[in-house]
Amino acid sequence: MTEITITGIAGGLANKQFSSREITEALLKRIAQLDPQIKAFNCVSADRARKEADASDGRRRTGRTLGVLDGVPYVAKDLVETAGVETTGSSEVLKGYIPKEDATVAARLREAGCVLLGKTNTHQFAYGVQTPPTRNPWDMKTPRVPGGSSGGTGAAVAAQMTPYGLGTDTGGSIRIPSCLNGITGLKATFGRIPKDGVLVMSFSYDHVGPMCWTAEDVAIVLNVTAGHSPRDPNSAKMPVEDYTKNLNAGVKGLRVGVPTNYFISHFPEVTKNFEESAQALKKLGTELVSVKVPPSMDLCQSVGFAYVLAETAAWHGPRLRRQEMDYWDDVRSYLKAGEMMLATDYINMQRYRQKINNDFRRMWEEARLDIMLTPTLAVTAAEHGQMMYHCPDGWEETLMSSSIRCTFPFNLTGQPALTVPNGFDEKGLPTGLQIIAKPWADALTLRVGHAYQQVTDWHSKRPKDLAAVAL
Amino acid sequence: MAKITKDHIQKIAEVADLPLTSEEATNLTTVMQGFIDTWRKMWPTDFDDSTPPEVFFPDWSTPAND
Repeated sequence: MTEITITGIAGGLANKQFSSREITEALLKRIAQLDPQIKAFNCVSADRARKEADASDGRRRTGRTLGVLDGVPYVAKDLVETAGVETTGSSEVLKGYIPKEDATVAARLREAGCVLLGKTNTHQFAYGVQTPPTRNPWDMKTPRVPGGSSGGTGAAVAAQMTPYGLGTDTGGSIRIPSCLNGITGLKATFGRIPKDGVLVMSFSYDHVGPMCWTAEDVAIVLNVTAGHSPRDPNSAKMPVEDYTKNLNAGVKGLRVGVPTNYFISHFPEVTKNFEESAQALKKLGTELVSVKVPPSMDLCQSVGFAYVLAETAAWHGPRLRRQEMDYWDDVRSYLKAGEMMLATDYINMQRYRQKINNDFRRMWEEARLDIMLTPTLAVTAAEHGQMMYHCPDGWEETLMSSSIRCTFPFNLTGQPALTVPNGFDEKGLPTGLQIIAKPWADALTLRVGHAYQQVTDWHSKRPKDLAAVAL
Repeated sequence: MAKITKDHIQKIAEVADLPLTSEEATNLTTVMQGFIDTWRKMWPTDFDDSTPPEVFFPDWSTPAND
């Protein structure tokens, strides 16, 4: 049985174990079998997938393969515009909207020969962390959230309906569902991957990026998707390196920050898994350094969320007035709250974001860190409808806060942050390790993630309740 | 600290051409009061007044975006 990962499928294609059309048909069949329960997909682009798979097979037969991703299927979060395939943001607002052009990130994957299986569910317009009605494949007895807002992509990868997919991340929306679904996801440095053609949530914080099983697979996708686009003024002109080149360079000698405050979980299993992860990296030769995160970080969620309120309200303003009842209740409430913000408060939030960045950078440089580690989330997957976490030590935290507390800071600072699976709780629900580097050191996060995945096997675990894929 | 009323919220909505039911205005009054009570209270008194917001560097080396 082939591993449903990028490297597994790319290897099978290269060795002619199967064709792109065969693996595509197998995944389409698995989607048809499983998605009525998982509900990860908004639409399945079977016709386009078959055409793209056949084209890939044709290239392979004549020795004109485009690269390692040629013929490998994927899914795109339904915020990413895909030419000829409906893009709705999981909303009635955009029902029937068929883009004429791909978003740059989708165009690059198409040019690399990737096969688009379909568009995955998102919390409406990315404005939440639950992604209803998608369920988490790690618990098929009790309905649980896959996280959000890229919960459809997270669940589709975890259920092995696709080897990888695209998500977006404004406050954690790649990393949260990656963590809760036991997979690997990257929020790259802000501006690393262009966002033109991706429906906007917050101009200041939006990212688009890969959700895969392994750091190696993430690096392969980053190689294809990174780089400036003239259509996105927020995409950087920094040179694009080969993100796979130094994956095996090891981590000996790296100074790894382990925070003693703010990024704390009140669930013992999450804490235990985090501590064991840090020790695993220490055994590989890193130097663990205790660091205290500056007090300005305590305002991170307030600053960040208020930014998002205002910016999202600005983008949705005209549609909100034309189609307000097509918005979900929670999304509509957030949008209207965003319209109430004073301009002076928004400007002061921008100034305070600068302060948070300055304080965090000063801490990082004084400690001479190469990497910082945190739990990706302080919790594991909530049940559908659950809005609060009640921790064993009496701590209580809302679903939203506990989901974004550890992830949102790195949208404010723009640093690259990779999440890798690092264990399970007592219910068998995944936990995650977040690996953060300086801006533009995306390759370092992948190198550390890859090193961790060479000495652990969490990324090899699969949800037990789902049927095996047969080829 | 400012005391937000339902009337304030409704007047802002009117200026912004934003449809708003009476119930939504009541809810938003609570939300915005909470925002002001937490955010403006947390604004530190020792904050360096010269810190600007994000810096914008213009770049005309590539074609203009739509």
